[in-house]
Amino acid sequence: MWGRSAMQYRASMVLTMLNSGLTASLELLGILVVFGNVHSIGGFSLPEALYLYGTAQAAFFTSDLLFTGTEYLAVRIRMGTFDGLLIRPVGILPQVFADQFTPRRLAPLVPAYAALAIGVAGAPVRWTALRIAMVPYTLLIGVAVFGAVWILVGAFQIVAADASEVMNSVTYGGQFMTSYPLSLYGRNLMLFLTFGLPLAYVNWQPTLYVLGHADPLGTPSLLRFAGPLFAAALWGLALLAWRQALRHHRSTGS
Amino acid sequence: MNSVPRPNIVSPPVAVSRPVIEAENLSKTYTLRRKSGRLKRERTTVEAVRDLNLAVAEGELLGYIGPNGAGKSTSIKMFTGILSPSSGKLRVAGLEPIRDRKQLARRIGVVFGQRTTLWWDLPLRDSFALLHRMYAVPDARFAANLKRYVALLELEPLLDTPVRQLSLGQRMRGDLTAALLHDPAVLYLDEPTIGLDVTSKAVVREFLAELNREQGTTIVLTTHDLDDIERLCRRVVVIDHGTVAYDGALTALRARVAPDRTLVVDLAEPGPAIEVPGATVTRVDGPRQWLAFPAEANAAALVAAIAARYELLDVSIRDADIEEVIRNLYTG
Repeated sequence: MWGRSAMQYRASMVLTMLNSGLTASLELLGILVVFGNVHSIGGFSLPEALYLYGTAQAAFFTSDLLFTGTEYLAVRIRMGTFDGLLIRPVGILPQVFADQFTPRRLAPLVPAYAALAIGVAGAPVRWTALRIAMVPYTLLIGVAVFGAVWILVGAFQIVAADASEVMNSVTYGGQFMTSYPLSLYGRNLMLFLTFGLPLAYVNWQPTLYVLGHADPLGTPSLLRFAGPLFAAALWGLALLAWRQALRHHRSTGS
Repeated sequence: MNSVPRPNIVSPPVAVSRPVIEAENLSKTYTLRRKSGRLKRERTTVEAVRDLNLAVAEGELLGYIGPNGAGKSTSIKMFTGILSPSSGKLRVAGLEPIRDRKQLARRIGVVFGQRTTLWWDLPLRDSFALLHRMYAVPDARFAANLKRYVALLELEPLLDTPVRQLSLGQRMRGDLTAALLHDPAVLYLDEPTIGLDVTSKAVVREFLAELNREQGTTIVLTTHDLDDIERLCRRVVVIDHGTVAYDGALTALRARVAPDRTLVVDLAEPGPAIEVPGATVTRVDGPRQWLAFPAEANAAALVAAIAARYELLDVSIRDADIEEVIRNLYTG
């Protein structure tokens, strides 16, 4: 239904779709160029890197499609139209998500899934049932983790009104971080992303399992499957933050 | 021991006389942080609403007025479940606004005159369809309501126009329809006629009067337009400094305050303040003078009395507007 709003500007939508699809494709091309010169990055071969990249991008852009409404909350708060959501008999979070839903966000999913498909086809993996199941599982965890991050972004926007730049470092930064083998970033950052901000579980840990790599940090292999725990914890945190943010809004007004 | 039979308390049946809005000592305080040094921040508390008491019966059409910043919007936001009260009791349609937000939303309609709650890029028809599903209005009820309001507000030719292309008056009619499709018990209107031309204002007023008469919808009308109040509301609540300054009939308010009217005269040449029985000069600016005289006095006689003694170029008479009525309520 909200998609229809976007359809009102058909030409604009087609152009932005092309644009965002193309931008995402160019990034993919960049990876190919890098692999024209080296045979592996961070211990990953080209199809392996594409697999990892594909899972990150697919998860991120799927979450972007579903949950990104929170990114625009600050505008609503400042314009005073946020109150309009509070007088509707449906949940506020679903309204916020639906608010910015547009089919144009489907475009970057194309190169993302293409990279994933190439990765799956080309990686030297003996596909067992568990490994196959790990692919959609990885995506699911990824979408869940990014989704929780979007909710945190929303909560932050309600309280801090305009701090979207700060939050961009978390969301788009997270997207960038997870797109490449974490082994590229050095040990300390890897430690942080595994035990601090658990972005490693979006796709790095499960991918290590699927591709049969050992964790350079030497973590026990059980951690490859710890994703749901971290995702659930992050959701708990995000929903709590969201509730607090709403309470804050209600007690201060707009 | 702990199995003492307790009466099964469901929500009590709503009696006809039971207020649909009940506020008891309702207060809202904000804490503001102000910079008072390089790093120091001072906390100040602002009482936007304090000890507000109000009971609105079902089917009333209430004028809710007061100067800007008096606490009107803040209290309305509490009534609609947007803001939580700092203290006091509040029940709307038997519900507690913040706790029962979703349930309450089904029982109330809200129209903000200055911001539309419609979907900016969607045609009205789609906005209405969306509300149909959002409020889960039964199909037959929705169809009947839509037909009725579209006819009353003459929206038929506009149904397929995106909201952004509608004029202010058209959009207001769309907003009114949108707020009523789910048969709310209470309708809050914040400045519904602001910026509208005379014809649109008349349409909106007539519509509200009929809605209140035919459907018995309780209407809370916030406005700065005295005409709106005069034409629609028998009861007026004046909010000032966050609390109820007056609650009663409009006629009684007028009589109680009896604001002076103002006569503005342009003399041929500047001179001392005019001396005339029945009026007092409040301001002199060159040849122009402002005289206050009682509302019930004969203006023509006063002008004649002045013209007999001074050479007049121009005169004009101004009625006290609502702001003055309210101000007089305090100073008088």
